[in-house]
Amino acid sequence: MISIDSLSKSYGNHYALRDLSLQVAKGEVFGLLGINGAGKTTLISILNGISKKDAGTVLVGQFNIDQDLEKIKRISSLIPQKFAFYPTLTAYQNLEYFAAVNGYMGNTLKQRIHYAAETARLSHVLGQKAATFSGGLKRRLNLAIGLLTQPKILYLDEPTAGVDPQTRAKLLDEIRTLSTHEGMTIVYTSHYIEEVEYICDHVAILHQGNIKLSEKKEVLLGHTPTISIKIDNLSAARSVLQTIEGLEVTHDSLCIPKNDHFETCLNMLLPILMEYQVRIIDIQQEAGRLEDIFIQLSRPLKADTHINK
Amino acid sequence: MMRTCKSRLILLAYSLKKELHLIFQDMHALLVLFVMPTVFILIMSLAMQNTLGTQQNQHHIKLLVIDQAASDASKKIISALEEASFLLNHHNLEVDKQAVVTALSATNTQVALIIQSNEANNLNLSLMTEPVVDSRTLALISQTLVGIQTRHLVEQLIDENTEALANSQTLQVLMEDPLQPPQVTYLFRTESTEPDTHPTSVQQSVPAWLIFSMFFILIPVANTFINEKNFGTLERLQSMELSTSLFLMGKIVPYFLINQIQIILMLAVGRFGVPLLGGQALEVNGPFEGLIVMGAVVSLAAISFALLISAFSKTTEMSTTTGGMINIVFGAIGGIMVPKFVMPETMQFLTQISPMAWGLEGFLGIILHGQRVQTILPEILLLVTFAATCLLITILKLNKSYG
Repeated sequence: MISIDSLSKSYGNHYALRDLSLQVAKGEVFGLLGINGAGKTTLISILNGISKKDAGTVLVGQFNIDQDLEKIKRISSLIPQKFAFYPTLTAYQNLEYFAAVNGYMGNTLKQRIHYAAETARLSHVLGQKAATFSGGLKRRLNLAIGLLTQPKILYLDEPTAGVDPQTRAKLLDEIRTLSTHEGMTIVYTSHYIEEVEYICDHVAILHQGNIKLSEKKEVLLGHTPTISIKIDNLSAARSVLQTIEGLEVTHDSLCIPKNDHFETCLNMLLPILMEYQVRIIDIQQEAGRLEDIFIQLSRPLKADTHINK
Repeated sequence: MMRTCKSRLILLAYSLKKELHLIFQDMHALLVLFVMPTVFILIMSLAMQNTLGTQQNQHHIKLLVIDQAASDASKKIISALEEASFLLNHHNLEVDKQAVVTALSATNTQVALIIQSNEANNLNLSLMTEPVVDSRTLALISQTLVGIQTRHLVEQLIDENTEALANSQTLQVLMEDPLQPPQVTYLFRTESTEPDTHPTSVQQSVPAWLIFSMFFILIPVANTFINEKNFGTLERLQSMELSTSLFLMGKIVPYFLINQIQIILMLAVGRFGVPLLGGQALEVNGPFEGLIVMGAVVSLAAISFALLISAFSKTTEMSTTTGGMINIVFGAIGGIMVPKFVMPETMQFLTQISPMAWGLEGFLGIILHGQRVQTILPEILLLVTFAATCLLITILKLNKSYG
């Protein structure tokens, strides 16, 4: 759906994007992870025609951004991180104005407002001023404005910033639904690894203007997390425990990968621990693989990002 | 979908609706746009009545009389002026401009009447006046003087014997040298090719404060524009199918209409409001279409300037401070706060750089001088050029910032 090849963009003598190449498949939720200043917003801005690229090729759908930017705008929609609407207007007035900006009128305009409000679950507050909304409702209105055109591609730039955990979980489910039910391709940028891990099919890590990694989520999470059990007085049980398939035994802990054998392994392990009176001190799940990879790839590079002239 | 003409109009209609919603929730902007000029027009029209004048009666006109003739006839004129309730200060000095200026200042008077006698012992009357005195006041003094002279001549004729009217010496003099209104000399000013008419206080105040307030459209324009920039709304609009020109048109049209409402209201305040408080009603001597054209071009200049300031400002504070200060300077040098014709020559020259002065000249051309649109074309062209330049720079800036 989106194909980017050798994309570069610089501001003054600083590279924001450097020879970046990326593919986003149709209908997938594509997570774009990166620390502040990694180039996420610049990339999104170029894809939405807000900024101009310096070099490279960008194809969105079958359209080339150099020749068919207007056509690209018709099939895509940006949900900015900021609350990009008029707080002193009601939700309906906001939707009405942005629908008109998108060229809708008459009954079509009303239908689009109805669709966007229903999809973003805003219908009950359409008559209220946006300024009176909670953070969650503001996020929903921000989303609803982007849904007015029923876009094929939706760009969500940190859409859960400043939202409480409960609302965040609901929003993530709703965004996921847009992909599964409406067939939208979603490009999702975030700082939050757990969000990306939760809703994305494909994850790319952007660092210092370039893609450091782009993989399907299953591939990235191929090394499944493990449950680590810290124990005391292992010596008597050690030889027995070592016979259990998939169980890693160290001098003070047992590690069980959360794979298909997890349940079997656990069922075999627990009676042995009871029989040998092994005391459990602590149980922890090891951090996901994605977080490790992200931290590793987001370390500062030795080479600077300045243009060598 | 291609944006059709109809969809553009609908977008403009929704832009108008949105901007009106925003502006009517902005109490500060409403005060500046509608209340401030109303108050200024009312106060300044009444406060400047005695300085700029209205259609005055002679009860309040002060004259400095310099009687160099010192004859019976001159004394009769002075006496008649006093009878006509003119307030007179007497002075005996040489008719020298500087001396008269000093005497006027010392006696807090603005018009001097000089009575001299010629070789034939006939009186020669002339007026020296400060430029702030309006033409109607001068006309009133002139008419009174001609009236007094006429009355004396008629009395003289009666004294000489009506039966011998045919041989009357007085009549002969009168026929050879008919009564002329006194010659008027303006002080503080070099000879000017401009018409020697000055606006009444209400004719000056209404267009002046109207233009000033129209330029303060800056406040609501900047409030919405800069919030759109800072809230990311502008980015969102740029990511939609909305060109910079159509976006700016969506700004210009609503504020243009708001400016037109200002014009109607302020003209109504001048026409009906000022008389209610004892002032003179606004009289428009020129064609109505002239007011429409001037209102339109001043509005375009004001909105374009507001958009330019907003495009370059990062915060609303920055725009209102910078734009507000420039507006005040435009007003100060543009004859808004102090009428141009009372300014020294160098300051009058300086007014030419202020778009508010161009607007005021145009409005005064219609309201005061009864000029047609063709006559005020230079002012119109200046304002249109100013608006086009501001818009062009704004478009370049927005295109640079938002691709």
